[in-house]
Amino acid sequence: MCLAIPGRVAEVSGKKIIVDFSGRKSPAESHFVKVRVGDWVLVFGNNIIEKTTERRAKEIIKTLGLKS
Amino acid sequence: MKILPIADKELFLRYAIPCGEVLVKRGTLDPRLLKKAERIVTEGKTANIDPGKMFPVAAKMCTLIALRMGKKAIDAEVIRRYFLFEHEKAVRWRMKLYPDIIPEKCIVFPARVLRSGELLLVNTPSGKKILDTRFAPEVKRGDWVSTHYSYASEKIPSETARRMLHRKKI
Repeated sequence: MCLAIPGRVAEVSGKKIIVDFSGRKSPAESHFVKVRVGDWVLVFGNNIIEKTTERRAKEIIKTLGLKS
Repeated sequence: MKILPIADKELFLRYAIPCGEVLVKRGTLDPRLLKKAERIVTEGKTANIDPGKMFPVAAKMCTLIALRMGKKAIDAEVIRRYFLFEHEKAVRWRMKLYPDIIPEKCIVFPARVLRSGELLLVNTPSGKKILDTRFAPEVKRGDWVSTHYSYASEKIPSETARRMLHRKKI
C-alpha cells in the first residue's frame, strides 16, 4: 500500500502541481497540505499525502533503494 | 483537510496490516502497535488504537474517496472501494516512477480457495499461492477471498471477485 514516495514540488499554479521525482516530473493534487515550490513531499497515486524534510526524503530514497 | 474518522476499524486493518511489516522496516510504524492491531482482527478485541495514524497514506486515500462519495466517515463501502478497486491505480502510478515494488504483492487480488486449513492454497490471477489464513480462518474450498501480500484479508462474494477480475490486467 501505501508506501508514498518522496519528491520535490517543481511547479504550483493554482490547483495544478508538478512534482519532481529524481528528475521525472509528474502532476499531483494536494488536498491535505498547502505546498510551495521547493517543498519536499510524500506522494501516492498522484496525491500529496504530507510534507517532509529533505533529510527524511533522502533517507527514504536511500532505504528503499529508489533510483531514477 | 483532515483524515475522516474510520467507522470500520477492523475492516480497514484487514487490508492495511499486510503492509505493516514494510512500514516497520521503514521506521514509521511501531511493531508493538502492529501486533495490537492484528489482535483486533484475529481476536475481535477493541484495543484503543488509531489506524489512521498507523496507516496515514491509506487513511488519506480513503478520506478522498469518502468525500467524493459524500460521506463523513470511512465506512466499509469506502474501505472496499479503495483496497479492492482504486488502490491498484495508485500502485501502478508508483511503479511507473520507481519500479522497486512487486505489483503482485501490493495489489489486492481476488483469489479462489483450492484447499483450506492452516495455510490456504488459492488460485490468483498470477497463479497459485499459499496464504496466511489468520484473518479469514473460516473460509472453505471454492470460496473467494481478497488477498493482500500473503494475507487472505477477507472472504468476498463471487460477484465482487468477478468485478475485480474484470478490471485487473496483468
